[in-house]
Amino acid sequence: MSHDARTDEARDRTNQPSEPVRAGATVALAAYLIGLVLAIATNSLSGPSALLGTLKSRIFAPLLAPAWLDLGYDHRFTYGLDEDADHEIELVSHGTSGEPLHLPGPIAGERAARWRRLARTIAVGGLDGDGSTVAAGVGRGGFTSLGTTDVDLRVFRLTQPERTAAADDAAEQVYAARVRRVADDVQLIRQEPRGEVAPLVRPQPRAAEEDSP
Amino acid sequence: MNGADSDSVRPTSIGETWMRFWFAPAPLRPLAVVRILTGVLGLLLAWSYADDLQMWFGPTGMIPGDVAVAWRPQWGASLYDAATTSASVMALFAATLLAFACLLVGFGSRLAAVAAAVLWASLLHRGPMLAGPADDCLAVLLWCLAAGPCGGDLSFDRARATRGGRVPPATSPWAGIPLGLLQVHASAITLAALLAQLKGDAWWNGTAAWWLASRAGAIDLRGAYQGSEYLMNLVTHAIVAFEILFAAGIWFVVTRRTVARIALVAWPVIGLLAGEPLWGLAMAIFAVPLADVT
Repeated sequence: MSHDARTDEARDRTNQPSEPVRAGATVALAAYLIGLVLAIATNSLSGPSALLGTLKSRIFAPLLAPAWLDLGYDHRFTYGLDEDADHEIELVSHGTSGEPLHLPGPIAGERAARWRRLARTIAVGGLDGDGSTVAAGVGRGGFTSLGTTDVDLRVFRLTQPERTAAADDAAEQVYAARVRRVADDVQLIRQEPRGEVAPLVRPQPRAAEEDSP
Repeated sequence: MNGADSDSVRPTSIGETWMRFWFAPAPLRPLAVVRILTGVLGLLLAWSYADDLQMWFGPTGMIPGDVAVAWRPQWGASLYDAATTSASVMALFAATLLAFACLLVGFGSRLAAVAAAVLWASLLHRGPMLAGPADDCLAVLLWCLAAGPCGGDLSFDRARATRGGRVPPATSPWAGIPLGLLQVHASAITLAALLAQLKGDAWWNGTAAWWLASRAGAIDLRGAYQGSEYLMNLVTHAIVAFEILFAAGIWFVVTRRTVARIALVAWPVIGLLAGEPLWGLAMAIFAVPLADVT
């Protein structure tokens, strides 16, 4: 053993944390480890149980959440579902045939991944609701880029073909809305897919005549 | 303890095991390497915000403050909430980059780690819907570094102390806590990811590799998978098998070093296959102290 190593060991022994300090650190570490387990247990896709959710939110969340440590780390990457596919945003000035703004467009890497996460949030929403609040913000942010106060926002899902299918990747529109500024307010008018809109039923004129006395 | 040296004497009780794991003197070099790699990762991830910073968080940006507040967890908070001008947003972001640079070179290392952790959490809370798996892991790495003497080696701090006639020690009784936290998180994050994956059919029927290859940013091996279903199945099952091996293997003395060394290669490869290369790098950083290569 070298002289330096012996010196270090001697210094470590004298610098050993005292019993009260180690006891305090032990309590802090134990509390953090319980918080870590609860954070993982309550942030999964399945949702938290009432007991664990309450325990975490009342005791640990005020400490973990501000530090970005209230996380489930459930990095599944894919289940092969449609919503796991890449998403993209298209912004275009409403009622014109102007050049659309594609996000992420041709950029790559982590920067593009952030745009795709934003697009997916609009299309899929979060645990607490749909993505329309985010869509309104993105549309409003597009006012400056497109030089207008009335934009059409669309989100496309780049559908993944099955391994056995010969099809190429195809873009499927999964969200559409018109975002405009009226006075000082930003309005979002969601355009529902045709299949989700109830048909408008009009009374038949002939039937109305037959019913009359 | 988490280091290899401490395994030579077997503790006899749970209390002794606990004390050895967290408080036995540990070398500073592994923590310094983690600090440097975390600084690099932090700069890479922060830089991915740079070009769109004002477009997202500026006064007329796409993610207004009230939307960010609505999407973040109840106790979430961000320094960016007070940044209402383009200049103040830019100033906070520049401070974040500076903190990562200081961490990288080891200048005011402990303070830089705390500052980087706070500023990084603030940035993520400003746009929670932009955050990805690598961002989560970076936050953990930063808080682990903030918990110990991360600037004790390979740093400007050490060089300055040496020039001043104070030769810093190569080990510290306070290095065990950050190293232990890194080991715990390496296993916990892997286990959580594994459990999440195994809820989906694709990870059982061997098709997950196909769907991963379809993602932007991933290595596109679809041609190879179309040629061989077995290859696709093999890659899928190999990822799961490695995650099981890593989550458990780093806790046994006989397997720890080998598993961690495999992980230094395997995590970046999985990151490339999944289209999350920086997540792969982050996971490899967790394995560095356990691989005993420093």
